[in-house]
Amino acid sequence: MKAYINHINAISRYQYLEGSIIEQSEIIEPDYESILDVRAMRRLSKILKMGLFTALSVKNQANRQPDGIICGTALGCLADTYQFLKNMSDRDEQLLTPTAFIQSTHNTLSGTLGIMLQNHSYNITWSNREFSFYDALEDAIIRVNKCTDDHILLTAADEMPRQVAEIIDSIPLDCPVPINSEGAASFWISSRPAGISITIESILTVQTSDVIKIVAETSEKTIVINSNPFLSFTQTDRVHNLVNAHRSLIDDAFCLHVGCQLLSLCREKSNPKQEVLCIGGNDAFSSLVKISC
Amino acid sequence: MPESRVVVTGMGIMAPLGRGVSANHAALVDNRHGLGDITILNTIHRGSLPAGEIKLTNTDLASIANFQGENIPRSVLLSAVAIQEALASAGLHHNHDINFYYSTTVGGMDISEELNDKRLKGQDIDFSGFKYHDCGASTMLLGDFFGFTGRRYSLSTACSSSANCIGRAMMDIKTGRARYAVAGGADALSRFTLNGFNSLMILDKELCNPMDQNRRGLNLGEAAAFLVLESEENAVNRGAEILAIVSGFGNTNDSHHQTASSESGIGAVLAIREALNDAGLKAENISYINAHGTGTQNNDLSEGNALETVFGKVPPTASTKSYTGHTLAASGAVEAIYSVLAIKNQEMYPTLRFKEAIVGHGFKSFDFTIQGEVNHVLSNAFGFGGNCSALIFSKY
Repeated sequence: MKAYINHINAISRYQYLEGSIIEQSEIIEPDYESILDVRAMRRLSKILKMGLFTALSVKNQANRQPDGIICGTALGCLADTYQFLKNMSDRDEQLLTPTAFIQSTHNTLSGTLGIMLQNHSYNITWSNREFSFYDALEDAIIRVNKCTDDHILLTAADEMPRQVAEIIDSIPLDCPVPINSEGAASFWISSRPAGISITIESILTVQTSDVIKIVAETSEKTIVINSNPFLSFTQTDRVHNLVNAHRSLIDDAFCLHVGCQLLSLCREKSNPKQEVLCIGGNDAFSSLVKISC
Repeated sequence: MPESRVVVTGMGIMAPLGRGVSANHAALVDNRHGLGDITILNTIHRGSLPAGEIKLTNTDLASIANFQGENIPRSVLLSAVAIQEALASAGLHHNHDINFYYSTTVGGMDISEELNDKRLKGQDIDFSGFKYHDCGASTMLLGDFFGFTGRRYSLSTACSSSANCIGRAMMDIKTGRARYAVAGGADALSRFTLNGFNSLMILDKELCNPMDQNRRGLNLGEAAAFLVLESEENAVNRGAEILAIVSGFGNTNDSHHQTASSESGIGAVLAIREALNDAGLKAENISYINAHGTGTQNNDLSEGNALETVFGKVPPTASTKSYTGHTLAASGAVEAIYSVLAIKNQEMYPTLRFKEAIVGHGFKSFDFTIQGEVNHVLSNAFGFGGNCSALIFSKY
């Protein structure tokens, strides 16, 4: 396996700053207009704004067309989905306008990226609960491994509009942390290094019950960042839990983003080779993504 | 490691043409469609918008599949029945190492839309009914129900969804990442999709006329369809019956519009060429084309233009959506099964109600005078977001 993360951008609750991982209770939104067209913005739902912003900024860093556009979203375009549902109830299935429906499909972001970039290449959207980003990442790695010069624009995005958050709050879920957060993260995955040149060493899924042992067996040089809310490790200098009061189903993407930030900062300080193990998943399965620089 | 050929060894389907592969085959051969008035979905459009509805209630389906639980999405119940058939026909059971590739666009929408309606009207509801709303919930429910021990994937690329599942499963078998794959998808009818397509004004109030000059739009349908894939070597070694080869896959983007296809059909052209290239075939090798052929003005014109660009002289082309309606995420897998049936039985299924070729297209769908061996079948699936996928199935 040979794959690199060359450029990153995220709208996330997590930041790696001055040697530690900082968490905010809410995402800090960027100045979207620095990248997105102001007129187009008015028509965009938050998931599209966030996803387009991170994806286009990563694409701009790479400064070339991708050979594939791969997205992961667990809950899709919830705001437009909810809007169309509400219109349907309010108007008793009559005289409906199609705008919200058009923007409600899970692949709206990947499709919009295809149109905006005028990119005819591979285009797909994975949607698989806590594994939505993992499925997308694995797909990206498989594709760049097939060629010697292949570049994938990979994006995870989820939104949590207020009306849907109210519904989710009322669902009895068997998880210690409620699903109440949102954000987007993009990665430029390539078959050759450039930019921050983070190496993806390995990715795999395992039973969550096996993760404690796996982490215990990691070398002292491996930094562990956990975003699986069903796992909690004793916080040490090298083991971090991202999980507390907030959660999205694509937290593993933010976990990987923070891991990349950490490694690229390490390299700036010319530290020796370092590894980060990013953990995501749920009560049954966990995803393990190991990166290094 | 050399790449091996990927073969189909099992199929299962729940569709408007009936329960199971043989019922579907019989309807295709008899040119019998499964479209009509909506009687199960709770909508004001009953009687005015025909659809391909499976005439079994969720209670019926749960009892056929022996699937227990509250608020199980209809797509999951349809899938459970279809997957049982697919596994049985392949001679597999749950303790084989099976990867699962699922796709849907509605997920648990049929449950969510009913609950939300009641909620907005101020009625008391059980909020736990929303917990299977997302696509991944269906994948989890089915994965757990069948006890699939391999990886479980799910994707959602609108109407090309299950074609993409088959494409990815094919790649995983080819490269040895999976030993067995159950790949496909499901979409039950929902008020959300019915009203969505109605608001786009692309639903036909009569029975649809795909690939016809006088087409008026599409009919929606519901279905679940799954194929079992494995390597040729694995199938031969265990003595499984090989139904067809999955020989090519292409996935591209039309990069034109969120819901409309470009006039040239450039996305479709590129997807078909990619699939031909993947299969190591030339355009003239294709014996029969299962068109995406929804029946909308835009799709059928664009798709026909794309076929003429790729093929010049277009081989026999037909749309089985004239039988089933457009089954959205399931359509790629439904039509993959119909493509395999065409190869296995050496037959082609004419577009129903076809009268007049589309002006500007030099081919008819379906020209009965062209008959011949069915060696390689191209099956197209296109979706919102400009997603274009093409699969090629070949005679074993």
